[in-house]
Amino acid sequence: MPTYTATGLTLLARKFKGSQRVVTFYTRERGKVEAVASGIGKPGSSLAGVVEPFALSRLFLVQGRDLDRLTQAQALEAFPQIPASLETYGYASWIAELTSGATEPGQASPDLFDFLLASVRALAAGEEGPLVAAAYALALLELLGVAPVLEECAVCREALAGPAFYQAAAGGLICAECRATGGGIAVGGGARGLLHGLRRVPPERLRGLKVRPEEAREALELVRRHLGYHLGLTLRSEEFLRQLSP
Amino acid sequence: MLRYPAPLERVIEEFERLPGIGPKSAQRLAFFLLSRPRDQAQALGETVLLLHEGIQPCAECGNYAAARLCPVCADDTRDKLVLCVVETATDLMALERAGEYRGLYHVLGGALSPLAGVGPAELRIGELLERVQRYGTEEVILATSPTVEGDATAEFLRQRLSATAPQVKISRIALGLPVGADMDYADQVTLARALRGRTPM
Repeated sequence: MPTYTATGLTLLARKFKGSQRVVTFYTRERGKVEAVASGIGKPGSSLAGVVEPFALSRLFLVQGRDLDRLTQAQALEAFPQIPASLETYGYASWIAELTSGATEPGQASPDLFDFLLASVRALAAGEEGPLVAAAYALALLELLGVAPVLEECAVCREALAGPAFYQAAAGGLICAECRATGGGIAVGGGARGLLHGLRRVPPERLRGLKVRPEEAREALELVRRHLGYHLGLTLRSEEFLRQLSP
Repeated sequence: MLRYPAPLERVIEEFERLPGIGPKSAQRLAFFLLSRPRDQAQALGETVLLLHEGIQPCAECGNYAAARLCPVCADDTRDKLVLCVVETATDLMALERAGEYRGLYHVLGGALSPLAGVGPAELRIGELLERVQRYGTEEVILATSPTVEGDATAEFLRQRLSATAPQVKISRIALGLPVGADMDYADQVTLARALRGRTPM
């Protein structure tokens, strides 16, 4: 059986047979990789640490017919700060679940990997969860070619001078005139400016943005709607985050 | 294609639902039962039924119990001022087998897991806080798993307990190398944890 190595971030792990886990990684070299790891949960397992969510590892894998097999791994970076805050943990899980749901095995995107890793590092460093999550989702949508139109009206393509509305079916923001023909959610100036900003600022520099928490949440809500409509994803971590919101 | 008679097929299907049992094992178990006298199969069926009829969650800690209270909560010799928080009843049994602990337990019913849709509302956290107040608990030992989920749960409980019962001592079970482990084979994450959790001697 052919073997390969890859650098990857653990997204999810689910129980399989006995002490085995099916682990989903997002790797720089091969994109999403799903592999079986054995002996997890047994004391002394050398793989237990690396199959934990958000661990960055060098992975040694054997290609299988259905699933690959993780034979060895070397932990490169762990983020013990993430479970220390429930909100950070929730948003990191949301990012991991989104990545797993929106990508296909074997389609490598080093840019997405770099953005994913930078986002997890930013969360571990204490950046605002909604901000990091919105920035990451926008980057992912951009790479998938379904980013929301933010600079102009998604229907008439005129520059957005006045109030703007979000319409998922139109593919982004629309002007008041075009909204008259259908529905749309009003988007505040702050959230709109933030969405523009998030496209240009790397995750590790989000701290420099002057953002009000409600603007960050509004921007994330818009991105969530866009994800739901264009990728058709239902994320389980959404319910967890809802429980945390005041 | 020739199929097994319907009752046999049903038994095989039911066995296949059990964890760790594949189609071959399910088939072997079904044929084994068929080869045994009828009263053995009947005894098995009746015992399985009793699981739901005779077992209930302990009214205090959430452990499995055959009466209102589990054997631990009903034991007057246990130290009622120390409470050990575990994720599941099987974790409680594992700790009991160690024979080191003489306090009470609290079974949460899982760990916080956004990816599995388990939030604070799905766990027995309110009951824990209420018990700590009612018992005048002096120490709460957080014995959740050494995983991201277990750590997040422990940290969340620490914050909630500190806010509602600041006088209570909160501790976390030691995390690190298992007894008899070869340091050379331990992974970096475990070694880092073992170093962070070192104790003076």
